[in-house]
Amino acid sequence: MKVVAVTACPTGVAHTYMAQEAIEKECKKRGYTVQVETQGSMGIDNELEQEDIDSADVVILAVAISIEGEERFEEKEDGGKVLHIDPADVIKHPADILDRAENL
Amino acid sequence: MSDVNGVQDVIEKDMILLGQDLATKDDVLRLLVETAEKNGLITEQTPFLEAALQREAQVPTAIGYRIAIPHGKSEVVKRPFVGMLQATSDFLWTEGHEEEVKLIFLIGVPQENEHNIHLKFISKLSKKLLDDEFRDELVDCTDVERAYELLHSIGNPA
Repeated sequence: MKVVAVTACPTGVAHTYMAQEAIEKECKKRGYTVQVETQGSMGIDNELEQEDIDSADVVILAVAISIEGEERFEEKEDGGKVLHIDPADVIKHPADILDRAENL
Repeated sequence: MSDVNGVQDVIEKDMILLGQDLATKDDVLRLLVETAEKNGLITEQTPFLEAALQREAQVPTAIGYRIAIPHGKSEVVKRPFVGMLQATSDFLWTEGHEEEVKLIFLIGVPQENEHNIHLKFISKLSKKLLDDEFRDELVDCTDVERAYELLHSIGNPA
């Protein structure tokens, strides 16, 4: 299972990175491959290339603002493989969110 | 910039308030903001308090794990900082929401950002709060020196 995700929140100082940590932790626990791009006040880190996205089984967009490069996910979106959630939700309930992503 | 991680600039001992007998968001924010002004981290209390409350009004910042991370971006903030307040007991962070909190981290960031090193530390701290052991020790900590040490250790390379 390969998961890619983008996290972003309005101020971009805390939730963005906590959501990243929560997703990475839960994926590692499950033995999934995971790559999380953060769009925060420090700019874009760990940017996802198109090929990273194409090869992923599922995409999690834990974003509370509009993000850069959303068009990268169009194909996955059409395939119904994108989960849109609030960053706070994945921080609070990482296991539930991963279950939902897995069942897409 | 006192060290490579900018840690000492972000976390100050004077901004660690343990065992505070407070049980409302307003009281906690007021005390933290007042302390931030005393320590020269902000030039004025009201605009920053308003920024933090406005952010709360959008979505409350209690994130589970007995923690809230209120934050505000404002031009009265001189440089990014984190203040921590530990309440004596868990209390309801926001009326009408379920989350109870005991640890509150107030994050301040300037309107214009040229302080990536500080933000990097704040992002590391945010991540570290999901570490059970780390969090539990802070929740029960009664010694400012120890709390400072714990928070300071985040700046060390992983």
